[in-house]
Amino acid sequence: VKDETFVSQRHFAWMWITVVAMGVLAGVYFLDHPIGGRNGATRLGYIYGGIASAGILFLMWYGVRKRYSYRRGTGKLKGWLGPHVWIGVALAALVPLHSGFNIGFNVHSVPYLIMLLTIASGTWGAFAYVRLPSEMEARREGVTVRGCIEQIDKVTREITTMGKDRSPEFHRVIEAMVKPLEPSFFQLLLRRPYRAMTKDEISAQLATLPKEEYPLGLQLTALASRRIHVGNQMVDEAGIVVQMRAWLYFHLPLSFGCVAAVLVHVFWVLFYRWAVR
Amino acid sequence: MKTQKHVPSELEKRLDIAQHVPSLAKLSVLAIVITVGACFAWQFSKGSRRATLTSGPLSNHHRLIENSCERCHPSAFRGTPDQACVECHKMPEHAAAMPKMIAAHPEQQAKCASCHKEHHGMRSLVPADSPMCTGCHMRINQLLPGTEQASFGDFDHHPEFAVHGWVGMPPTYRRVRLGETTIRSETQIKFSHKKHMALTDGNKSTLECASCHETAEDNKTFRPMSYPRHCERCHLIDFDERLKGQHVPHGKAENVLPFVTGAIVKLHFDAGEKGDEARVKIEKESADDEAALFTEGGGCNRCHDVEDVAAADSPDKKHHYNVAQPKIPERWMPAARFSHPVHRFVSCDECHGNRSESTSASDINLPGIARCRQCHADPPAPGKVASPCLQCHGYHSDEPLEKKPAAVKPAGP
Repeated sequence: VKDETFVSQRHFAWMWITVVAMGVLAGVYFLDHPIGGRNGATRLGYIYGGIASAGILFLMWYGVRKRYSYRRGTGKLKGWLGPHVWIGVALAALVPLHSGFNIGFNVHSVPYLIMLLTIASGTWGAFAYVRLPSEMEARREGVTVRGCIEQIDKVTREITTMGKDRSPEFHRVIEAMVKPLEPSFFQLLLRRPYRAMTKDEISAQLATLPKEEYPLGLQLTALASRRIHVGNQMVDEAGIVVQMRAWLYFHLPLSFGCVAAVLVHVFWVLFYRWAVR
Repeated sequence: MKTQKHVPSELEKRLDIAQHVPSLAKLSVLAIVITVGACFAWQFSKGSRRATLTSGPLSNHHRLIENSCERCHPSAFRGTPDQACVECHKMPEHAAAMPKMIAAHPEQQAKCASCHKEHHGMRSLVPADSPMCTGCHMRINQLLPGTEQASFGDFDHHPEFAVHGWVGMPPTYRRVRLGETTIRSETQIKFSHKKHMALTDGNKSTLECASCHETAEDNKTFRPMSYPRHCERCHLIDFDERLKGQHVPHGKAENVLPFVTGAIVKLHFDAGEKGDEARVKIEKESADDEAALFTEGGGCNRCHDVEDVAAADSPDKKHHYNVAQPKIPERWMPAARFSHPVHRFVSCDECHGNRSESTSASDINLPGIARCRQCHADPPAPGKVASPCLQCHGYHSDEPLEKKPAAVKPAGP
């Protein structure tokens, strides 16, 4: 299939495998009637906790594969992304089955909280990978980040040349109109455009010029406006790349935090159970 | 010029996310450190350890000792040994049967905390749901090899009710499931529900169920049947055609002959008869009247089974009539709880409809379990009363079900 993505690969095969597996696990869960009600400390609770832990290891292993053995190992990396995504989503439902839908303000609920954040950031990443590349492609009308930067440089140089041998007032207008184009992290992430000067602000600036520099002032206004426009194109282009990568800066640390929290949880549970029996 | 400061390569660098945030490796290590640090710091911060380490809040009454982990966990992070429970709780009667089970099955490692699960909040420590019972009973055939008890896991698979009664030919008295075969109870009373329910006064039934089945003071069972309250109004015991209006008092068989003799003596004395001739007459007539009462068709025999014991067969070498004492069960299934008043919105007929065709008191007019399932379900089902095991059954009693015949309350005089 041409438009197949890692989410929908093989006609959503991995989604269906996960749905069926979760259906079976949920069925077994509801057939089990342990003494004192369902919770993480029943036999089934331990089994499901084990399955969830194995699931987490599988998800973490994807990162290892991606980073350290991109070309080695079984299958293509993209082929392993499908199960990574769907098993990850399924864990959000499996953990409540493990705990018998118990949740509390205690150390045992921390892993689940972090896991949900990890899954949320992963979902953001999955959407980014499915949506953004096609958006980038659709917008590729000769506009590239490098092209934008070159144009900005060119316009900036023109403005500099224009400022030669001009009055101090003219230089002040240049300073007001030509601000550094250094985008912040959030400007890139949100692809927020630069603030352009309003018509009133421009008139106020031009009014400060000596009479003979009015025409040059208008030229300067046009160049500054062009510079901002290209700058916005640059932020938009670069912003897509930032958006595609930013989620990972949440996803990966959160996933490590999740593993750490699971280990703390398992440590207390097993220590409690085994230390004395 | 300020604008000249913008070296293109610098700007291009600034567009890369890596220039804005620490590396993934650094962030990951930081996340691990923060998580582990926060989890442990939270637990070991003063006062919060218990709240954060516990897997859930304690049950209502144990909240009094919520901050004293050591009361139930004598060693840190250990389970709860039975000793810790016994320190405050006496082993109640209901658990008296447990040690036998535990002794028989050391491999189950059963202890108080096996069933009484703590750290599940306000939920009672006494599990009211079926798994407490079905945990063992769904495989009771494995735990108690050779048991007659059925292994099942919920009310849907509960076997048909069973009662003790006479079955087959020659009759044997044993526990039988309803509907399995014809069961005769040993009520030892001659009574036809059909005949009595058909009695009418004009268009109105003379008798209704409650005329005889009166709710007892415990508001659960019925008062025992009693001759003065339930029978006497219609069944006065005549004994001699010449003595209309005189009735034998209901009670002991040995009192019948003295009463009858007295009445006949008075009859003959009033007629002026005296002497041996009269004495012989009186003895014969009294014996005849007594015999008529106790034999087929007589006032006693009409309701009671009577055994005619000849003088030669009697230990005291005197002639006796032995009247069988009625044994009308108070509860047919003593191992189950059932309250008639609770079910007052269901008419008698809806469960005991078959009694209008019953001609013998030894018929067992009980509804089967299918009738219960019309309104009760376990596991819970929409539109039905959730009915875990404990709704009808008590916890282990000393006697197993199959040893418990119907509870018989002696009938009144």
